[in-house]
Amino acid sequence: MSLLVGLVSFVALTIVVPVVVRTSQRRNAIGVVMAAAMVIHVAGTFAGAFLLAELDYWQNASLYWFATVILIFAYGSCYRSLSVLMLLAVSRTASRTMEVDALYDGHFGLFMKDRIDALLEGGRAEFREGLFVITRAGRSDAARLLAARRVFGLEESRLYFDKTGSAQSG
Amino acid sequence: MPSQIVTASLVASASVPLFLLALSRGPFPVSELRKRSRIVGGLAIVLWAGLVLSGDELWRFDMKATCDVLAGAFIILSCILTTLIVLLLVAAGVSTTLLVSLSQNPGPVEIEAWLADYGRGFGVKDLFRDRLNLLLGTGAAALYESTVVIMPGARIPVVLLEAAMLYFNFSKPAGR
Repeated sequence: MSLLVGLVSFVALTIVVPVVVRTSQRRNAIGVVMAAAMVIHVAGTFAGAFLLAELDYWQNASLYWFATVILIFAYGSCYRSLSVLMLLAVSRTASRTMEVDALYDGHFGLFMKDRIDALLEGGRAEFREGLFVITRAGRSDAARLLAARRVFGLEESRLYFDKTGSAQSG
Repeated sequence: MPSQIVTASLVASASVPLFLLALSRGPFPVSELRKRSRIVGGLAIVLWAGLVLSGDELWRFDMKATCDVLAGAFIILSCILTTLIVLLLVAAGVSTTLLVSLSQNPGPVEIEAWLADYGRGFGVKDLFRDRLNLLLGTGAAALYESTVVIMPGARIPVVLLEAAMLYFNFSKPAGR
C-alpha cells in the first residue's frame, strides 16, 4: 500500500506539471517542477500516513522519486536535447526529410541562439559594446564546472563522438 | 527507521559517486564516458544485490520484504540515473561547455568567431555533426547522401515526443 501512495502521488504530479509549467515566467521551469514535486511528496506522505494504518515512508518515497527523476529527465530532453530538436525539425516537414545544410542553417543556428539567450537571461553572460562577455555569476558557475570536470577527469569529453568521424550514410 | 534492505539500498546508492570517482582517476581510469557510466551502474547494482542477499530480511519472503526489495531497486536506480544525468550535463552539456569556454577567454569575444571554435579545437559545426551522429545512432533518422530522412519506424517515437513537447509546453519555439 505504501508503494501505491507513491504511485498516486506521482499521478498527481503528472497532472500538476503541465499546469505549473504554463504559469512559469521563464521557459526553463525546472525550478517550478521541482518545487511542485516536493510539495506533492510532502502532501502525499501526510495523506498516506493519515489514511493508512501504517505507512512505510521509504516504499512511498522510492517509487515517487524514481518516477519523478524520469519525468525530470524527459523534461530536460524536451527542453534542451539538440538531437530531439533536430529530429522534430525534420519530422515536421511534409516530406519528413531535410538537407543537412538546411538543418544546420535553418534550425541548428536557432537552437544555439536559444543557448546564448539562456546564458543572457540567467545572468551568466551579457553583451558589452557588441561583444559577448561573462558575468561574475557566470564565472563563479564556470569555476565550479571546471572543478567538477577536473575531479571526474572530464577534460576531454565535450563531444559524444570523435570529431573527425563523419555522419554515416544510410 | 529504514529496514535492512532499504538501508542496504541507501548505502549502495552512496557508492555510485564513489565508484564514479574511483574510475575517473587513480589506478583504473576509464576515459570513455559511456563505458565508465555502464561500469559504475553495474558495480553499484552488484554491490546492492550483494548487500541485500547477505542480509536476513530478504529470506523471510513476505510482502514487506518483497516491497522493500522493489523500493530498494527504485532507490539504487534513481541514484544511478541522477548521477549519470549530472555527469552528462557537466561533461558534454552545451550550455555548460559554452560557459566554461567563455570563462577561459581573457576578455569579451566576438560571438560568431568564438562559437566557430568555442571548444578550442571544435566549434558549433562540429557540435552539429556530433549531435546529428547521436540522432542517426538511435535509428530514428538516416542520412542518404546529404539528406536526413526520418525512418518509418520512428513514427510512434516522434508522436510521443510531440505529445511530450505539448505536455511540457515546448511546442512553441523559444523566442521566435
